[in-house]
Parts: sequence; structure tokens; C-alpha cells
Amino acid sequence: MDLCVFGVDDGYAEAIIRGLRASFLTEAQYQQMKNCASIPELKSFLEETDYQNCLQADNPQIPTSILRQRLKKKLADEFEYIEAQSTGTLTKYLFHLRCRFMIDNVVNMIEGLKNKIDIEILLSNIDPLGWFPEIKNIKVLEGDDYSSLYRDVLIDTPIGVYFMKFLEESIENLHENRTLNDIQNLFREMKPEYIRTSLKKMWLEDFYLFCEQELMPTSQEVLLELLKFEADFKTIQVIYNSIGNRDLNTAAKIITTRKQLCPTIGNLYPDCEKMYLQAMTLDTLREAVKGCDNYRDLLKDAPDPLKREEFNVQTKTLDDIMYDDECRRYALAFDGQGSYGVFYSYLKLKEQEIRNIIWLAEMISRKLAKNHPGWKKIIIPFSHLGK
Amino acid sequence: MLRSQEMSLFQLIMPRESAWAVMDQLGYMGKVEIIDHDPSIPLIARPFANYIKRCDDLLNKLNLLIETAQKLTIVKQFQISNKTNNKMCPKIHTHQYLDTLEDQINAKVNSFLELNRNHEQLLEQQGIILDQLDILQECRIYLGDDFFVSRDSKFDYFIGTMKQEEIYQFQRMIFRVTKGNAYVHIKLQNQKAIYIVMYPDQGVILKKKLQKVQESMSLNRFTLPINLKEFDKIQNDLTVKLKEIKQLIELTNIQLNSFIQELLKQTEGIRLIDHYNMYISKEKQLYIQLNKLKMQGNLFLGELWIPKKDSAQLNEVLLIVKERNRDIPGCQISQKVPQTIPPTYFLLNEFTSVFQQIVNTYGIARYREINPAIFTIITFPFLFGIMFGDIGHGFCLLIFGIYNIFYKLEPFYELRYLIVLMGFFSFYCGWIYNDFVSLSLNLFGSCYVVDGQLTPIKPQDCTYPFGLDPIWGDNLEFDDSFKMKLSVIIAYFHMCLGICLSGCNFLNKKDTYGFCCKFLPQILFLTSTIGYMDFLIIFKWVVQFSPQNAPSIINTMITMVLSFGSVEGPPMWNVNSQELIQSILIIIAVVSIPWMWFSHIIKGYQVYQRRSNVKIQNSTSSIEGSQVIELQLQSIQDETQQEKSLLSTHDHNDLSPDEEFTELVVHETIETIEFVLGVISNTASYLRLWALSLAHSQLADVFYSLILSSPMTEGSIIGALLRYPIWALVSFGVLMCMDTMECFLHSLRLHWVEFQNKFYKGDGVEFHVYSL
Repeated sequence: MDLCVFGVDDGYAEAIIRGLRASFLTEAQYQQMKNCASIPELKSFLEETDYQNCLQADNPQIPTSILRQRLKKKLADEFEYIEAQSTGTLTKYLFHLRCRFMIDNVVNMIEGLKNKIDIEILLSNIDPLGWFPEIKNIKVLEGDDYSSLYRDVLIDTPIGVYFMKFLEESIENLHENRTLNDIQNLFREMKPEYIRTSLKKMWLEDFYLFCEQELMPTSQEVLLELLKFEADFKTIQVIYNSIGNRDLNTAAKIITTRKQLCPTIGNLYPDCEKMYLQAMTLDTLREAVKGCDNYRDLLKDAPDPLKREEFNVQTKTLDDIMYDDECRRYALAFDGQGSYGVFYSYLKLKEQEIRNIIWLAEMISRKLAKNHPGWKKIIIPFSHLGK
Repeated sequence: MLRSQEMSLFQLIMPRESAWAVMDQLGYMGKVEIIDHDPSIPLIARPFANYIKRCDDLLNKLNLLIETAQKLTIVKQFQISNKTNNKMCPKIHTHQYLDTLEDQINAKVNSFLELNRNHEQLLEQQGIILDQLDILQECRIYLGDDFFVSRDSKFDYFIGTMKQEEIYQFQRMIFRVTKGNAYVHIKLQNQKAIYIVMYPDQGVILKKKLQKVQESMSLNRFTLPINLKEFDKIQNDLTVKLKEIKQLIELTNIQLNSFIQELLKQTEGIRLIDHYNMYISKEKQLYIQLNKLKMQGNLFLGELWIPKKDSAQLNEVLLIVKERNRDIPGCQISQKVPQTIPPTYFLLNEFTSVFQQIVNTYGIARYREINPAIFTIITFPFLFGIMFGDIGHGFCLLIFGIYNIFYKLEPFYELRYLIVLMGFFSFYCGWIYNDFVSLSLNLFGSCYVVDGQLTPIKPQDCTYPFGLDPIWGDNLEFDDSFKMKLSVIIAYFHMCLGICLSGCNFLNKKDTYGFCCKFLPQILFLTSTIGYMDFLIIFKWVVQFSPQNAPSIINTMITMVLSFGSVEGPPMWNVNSQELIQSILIIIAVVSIPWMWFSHIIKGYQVYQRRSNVKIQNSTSSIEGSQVIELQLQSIQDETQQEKSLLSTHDHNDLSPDEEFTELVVHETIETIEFVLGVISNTASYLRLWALSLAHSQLADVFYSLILSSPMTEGSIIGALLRYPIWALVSFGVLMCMDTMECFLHSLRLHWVEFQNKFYKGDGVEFHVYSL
């Protein structure tokens, strides 16, 4: 049914996305990029592609940070255009997508302020996709007082809800007769990475709920599947990274932290929850997720986190494996017609493309030998389609 | 125009030094196409990529300059002229001229931007001072004079300006940070908002926090003067400063103005800025073409197409280059035998180009194939006219077309000649149908006499001079029969023309076998079936039959096919001779089917056998000298074939002879079936001529009788006047707009499908002329 009426409101936006789909760099183009000898050459190559207009005004010897900013700006512009063409549910949906970037921006700002980086630099480095007017007020942050940050700045912003929940949860977790000092201590010790992961978890759960409740069945079919995978991906990442983590010294602490950070959606939850929360080695983690064929295969090739010191560029880390699988899934979302999945996938895949370009730019600027294993470490969106 | 221009392939070998000069002159000649030696090479890997880049950069800079200049309101007439007339471009330059131009432009743009930046900075400073003055005034009004005399130390203040859209956010932030213990006064002024915030002096932390809020949101911040004396002093200082800055702004304005005037200065009838733009665009085009050449050491190798009749000019051009630049080594040019199919090039003019476009939309003609456009010039508007036939509407269209020729009316300007011809033929067909917006005109006096009888009487010797007799005006049956038969007759002649053109194509290629085995059976088949029917139609028109003796054409045709030429019912003329002729025609039609079907298959089979024999010999016996040559020949043939198939739409690159043969059989079978069925179905398709013409006349009739006729018969002039605009609008919308489109499309279809599929391959490559 919803396929009949999808085009009424969202047909145009979808058509734009499908048009933009043509702008992805192809494998041959990546090959040419790898052959570039210097950054100016890479830049002039990119000017032959869809990225032409966003780079023209720049100096040929463009630093990678600015390059990234330009590429992101282009993606943000495209996204903004689509947002402007959308109505109703699609607008809400697209806004939800933006929230993820806002979370990243806020956490980055907090992290930067903590490290006493100049506010102007921080502002120039924010992801344009997640820009919102209040973001420049974050510098009101004093020390580690997140609650006043929430009260003064974030309360009105779209991500205020998540931040509040996060604050409540972290205070609740303290022991019964807590004092103001305890709370301050808690915040002081809190790592920005921890804030990021918990906020993103909440966002993911919220987004999942939104998709489940408001979207049409076709979109749901595609999106819920993708989100479930993303949730599982997050879960596995959290567990994997907490194995052998020195900051979490007791077993009880590991489990509570894990419980806080693992999303309560996905294929692994709640069936495997008990197992994975307790997993203390890679093997037990493998055992925990073996119910899902897919994940077992993914984890088969993952290196042991206990031997983290031995990792080098050559190692295909868990993240690489996951990204690879993710990209394949996102590209598949383009197969179906009439679903919101394409918007989500487009963002994700374009992000991957930008990551690839930046990675290659780094490789080029460091003048690494062409047989260096790092050259192979890019995941090309839609590359599996040819096979 | 009938066939595309004959092309010759030349190879150009030139040293690096003269490459620029040669390409420059070739570009001005505007007759050649440079072949890209390898289209798969990306731009950056080509030798002149950086030149193109430089040109792009310069063009960008010029654009930037133009844009900024247009933003400045001081110069209003700064418009870049769109029409860049290349003839005005000075022709004698060397490639170093780009360097000088580059330096000039860079210097100009930089100094201009510098000036502009100064200008902007000054404006900004002026803005700040104005803000400051505004704030001071506002403070004085709002806080009162007393405030500056005796200040209350319990409160602290800060003042400044900010963007208007951030007011609410600002107020909210202040409220939250101070927990409501602050007062914010805001005044809107010149797209900015002035704010004064008062808050109790409660310690350093709050002050610091508020300062941060202020920092992050305000455009400018100021501190309040302590007392009135200082207040006045500051105010005076600011006014003095303002005056100075205003003077400076005036000065830079004058500078900017003179700068732009310099750019607009005319030299040799062309503005400097246009000259820059044109020259650099031209240079870019030139380097793009240069990039297509192959570089070997210090030499450039390139191949180019040129129309055969112009190839003599090529040497002249090269001589000119040599004369002009005596100090650089010359270049060599030599004719080559083309390996690929040459591009298709027609010399067109304003009149023919629109018809060529109609054909090109379907497909570019194959090299030296007959170009249907030349026939389309008349047949297209004529078929349109048959469908649109109406004196009134046709005349409107004709007038519209003529108007377009003299006065440009943008979207239709390119189609003007097409519209004129379409209008003319509908006008003409309207006279034939005697149809003037659904009414019949009785200009010459009808031949029929109606005097109280059921059927009007027609005197023997009277003929209506032109078109149909008006007595038939409302008789749908007569109209239908006439138009239907007319369509079939036109169908035969139109398709016949198509087949004859295919015959001409065979002759032109000197393919006698194809001529005998494709063209002859096809035209015989068409003539013996549809042609015979048309003959019967005309015969029946010419000869008078008594009603009971009149033969039926449909029955004649059906029995002729079903019972081998025999005649049922009344004969057309003599039964015996008719039967004889009909059976002969049937035999011809039946024989021509296998004739066109198998002839090429048999030939293909012979080639296939010969080839497989050669292969077997090669694999068993040692290769002899003659076979080596044959093999080489074969491989060359294969190569050309591969290139051909690459050009055509089918991709069968690596087919073994076996597969090739099967392919041929399938292809021939399909083509034969298509043709035989096509003769029937295409003829039926031409009946759309009748259908659309009927639709047009009926629509006109309906509009007339529903809207106009009732008040006209009643004789109420007012009613007629009131209804006339409605009728005119409906006629315009439905008949003149929609029906024109419809008839156009159907005419297009008849040409593309029914006419062109008889002979037109349409798989050529267009000739892209390189012209500066």
C-alpha cells in the first residue's frame, strides 16, 4: 500500500538521492587517486569528479583537515537541500539523522574545551551536518559541570533530551547517599568517549523507536534491519573494546559499564545479553554471538583484543571488518524502491567515501611506498556490486 | 545534404614548438575534428592538463572580479556581454601571450581584490563606529543622564550589538545563566539589535560566565563611560573618526571606479574584460584539443577528420603557419586510409537544420548513407497537413510561422520554417477537404442541385474546380471513405520511397547482391500487395460503376489472397484477365519472401564454410606463405569488424564463426518476418492520417455546433458575441495547441518508424567540428 502513495510526498526527495547516488567514486577512480603523487595532484583529480565546486577556491596544497571540512560541507549542503525538499515524516526522519552528528559535535567541543583548545579552532572543525545555533555557546562550560551545561545551553537543542537522560542515568548509578562532591567527582572522571557512546546509544534507541512507530512498512523493513545491525555492531564494539581494558579493573564494573553502553535493541538483545555481558575473552564473545551466523563469521577474523600491543597497520581490525560489512548492507538499501533507507544509507556511504579520500590523502601526504599495506585499507561503497 | 560529406583522414606530425600555432590556425579554419587517441585517459594524465587548469583558474578569477564588481553599487553598467564574437579576437598571437595575459589578469584581480578588501574593511569600521554611537545614544536615552552622574555599584552592565535573529536565544541564555536575575533591554536598529544587560554584581563566577555568553553571541562589545564628561568626549572622538573614515571610503570608491572603467575601456571595438574572457576561453578550447594528440618524445602525433572538399585548405593553413613563424620547425601532414568509420557531417543552414534535428533525434546517419532529412522537409509537413487539414487553423499556423520568421519569438524561433511549412500544408489540405473550421465553403458554386428531392442531382459536365464539392460537407461517410483511401495511397508511396532509398544505398555501396536480394523482392512484395490495392482504389474512382455492379475492394483483396487470385462477385474489368493478373501478383509476392529471406543466409553459409576450411588447414598443415598473408588479412578484417561492432549498438566482439552464422540466420529471419508483417501493419498504421484528420474535423464541428451555432441560427448577435470568446479560446487550446502537438507526434512516428525503418540505419557518429 505505502508504495502507491510514497511518491506523493517523498518521491522527489528520493529521486534526488538516487541522482546523487551517481556521484560515488568508482573503483577505477580510487585506483587513479592512489596513483596521485602529491596533494595538489589529488586535489586536481577530485576537481574532475563531483567534488569539483567545493574545492575550486582552495589553495592546491590543501591540508587534510580543510579537505575533510570541504568534503563534509558538500555533503551537508546536499543533505540540507534534500531536507528543504521534504515534508512531514520525512523531515522528522531526516532531522533524526542529523542528531547523530550533533552528538558528535557536542562531545568534540566538550573534549576540546577540556584540553584547552581554542574555541575558534573547535568551531571551525565542527561537522557541518550537525551544526545548530547553540553550539557556539558550549564554551560556557566551566570545568566538568555537565549539568549546568545542560541547563544553560543544551536544554533547547534537539539533543537535550538525550543529554538529560544521560545525566539522570549517571547520577542514579551512584550509591544511595550521594553528595554533591560525588557527582562532581563522577563528572571529572568521565571520559568524553564514554559520553559519546552513551549518547549515541540513546539516540539509536530513540531513532529505532521512531522508525518503528512512524514510518511506513516498506521503510521499516529496510531501516529496522539496518539499525538492528548497527546496534549489534555497537554492542560488539563495546564488549570487544572493554576486554582487557585497564580502566575497568573489576568484573562488576565491567558489567555495569557494558550494560550502560550496550543498546537495548538489535538481534543480540535480549537473547544473548547475559552471555555477552560476561564475556571476558574473544572466544567467549564469539561463543556469545554464535546464535547469529553473520556475527560469528565476522568475529572469526577479528584479532584478539588482549594482544592489542601487537596491532599494526596491516592488521584488519574489528572496525574494518564491521565497516566492510556495513557498507555492503547500506549499498543494498538502494535496491528497494520507496523506502527511507536510501537517505540513511546515502549519508553513511558518503561518510565512508570521505573517510576513504581523507585516508588516501594522508597516505599521499606522508609519501608512503605504493606497496604499503595501508593503501588497501579503504572500503569502496558499491564495490561489491560488480562481483 | 542527401549524403553526408566525404571525409578524409589525415595524420598530423608536428614538433612541440609549432603545435600551438598549428592548432590555433586549425581552430580558426573550423573545418576539422581532432580524434582523441585514447578517450580513456583522464584529464590529469594528459600533457596540457595544467594549461587547462590555468585557464580555468583565470576564468574563475575573472568571474570573481565581475561578481564583486557587480555587487558594488558604484558601477551599474558593468555587464559582461554574452555574445562573444570570435572574429573580433586578435588572431596573431603566440602562446606566450597567455603568460602575459595571466600576469596582467593576476595583477589586476589581486589589486582589485585588495582595493575591495580595503573598502570592505573601511565599511566595517564605519559600521562599528556607527554602532558605538547608536549605543551611546541609546544608553543615554534609556538609562538617563542621572545614571552617568551617580552610578549604583550594586549593578553591573554590559552593552553591545548582535544579530537580530539571535535575540531570543540570547535572552534565554542570559535568563538561564543568571537564573532570572538580569534585565535585558533590546532595541532593533539597522538590521542589528542593541542590547543592554543589567545584572546584580554577585561575584566573579557569574560575571565570567556572562562574559562568555556575550563573547559567543555578540558582534561588538563596548564598555560604558564612567561619567558624563567622558561620555561626551567619547562621542566627539567617534564623530571625528567617522568623518575621517567616510573620506577614506570616498577615496577608495573613486579608485575602484577608475579601475573598473579601465577594464571597460574599448580597444579595437572590444572591451578589455571581454577580450580577456574570450581569449582565455579560446585558449582553453585549444588546449583541450591539443590534449587529444599523442605525444611521442618531442613530437605530437594526431589524426584528424576533414571534409574531402576542404582538404586542400589544410595545406594552405599549414603554409600560413610556416610563413608566419619562420623560426620554428614546420609540421608534416599525410593522408591516411581510415580504419574506423568516418563521422557523419552534413552542411546545414537555418532552413534545413530543424529537419536534420528531427532525423538526428532518431539516430545519426551512418557515414554516406542517404539522409532522410532532405525528404522530411516536404513529407513531414505534408503528412502533418493531411492530419491537421483545415483552412482556418492552417492559416493561423501559417501566419504564426511567418510572424516568427520576421520577429523572434523565443521557444518557436528555431522551428519557424517547420511551422511555416506545416501551416502551409494544412492550409492546402484544408482547401482539398473544403473544411473551414468545420464549415464547407461554397466559393465556386456547388455542382449539385437540390430541388426538393432526396438525392441531389449532379449535371454530367460539371466539376467543382478545387477540393471537395461543398455538398459533401456534412457527409461523414463520404469523408471517411475518401480520407481512408487517401491514407492507404500515401502509405504505399511513402513506404515505396523508403524502399527505393534502401536500393540507392545498396547501389552506392556497390552491393549488387544486396540490391538484387533485398531491394528487389521488397519492392515487388509491397507493390504486388498494397500497390495492387491502391491500383484498385484509383481504378474504382476513375471508372463509373452502376450501384449493383460495383465491385468491393475489400472482398477482392481477401478472395485474391485466400483463393489464389480468383474473383468473386462483380469484376473490376474482365474476369479472366483480372484473375490472371491477380494470380501472377500472388506468385510474385510468395516468391519474394524466401528470396529476401534466404539469399543472405546462403551467402553467409558459403563464407562460413570457407573460413572453417581455412582454420582446419591452418591447424593441420604448416603455414605457407600465402596463408600467412591471408591470415594477416583476416586479422585486419577482424579488427575492423570489431571496431565496427563497437560503434554499432550490438556488442558481439568475440564471436566464433559458428556463432556468427547463427546470429546471421536469426537476424535475417527476424528482418524478413518484420518486413512482411510490416507491410501490412505499417499500411494500417498510416490509417492514423485518416483518424487524426477525422478527429480534427469532428472536434472543430463539435465546438462550433455546441458553442456558436445556436445563437447564430437564432440570430442573436449579442449571444454570438458573448459566446465567441469561449469558442475562440477552446479552439485555440484544444485544436491549435493540443491537436498541433498530436499531429506533430504522429507525423514524427510515421517518419521514424514506418518510413525510416525501410532504409535508415542511423548508427553513425556525429562530426564535431573544432572551431575557435
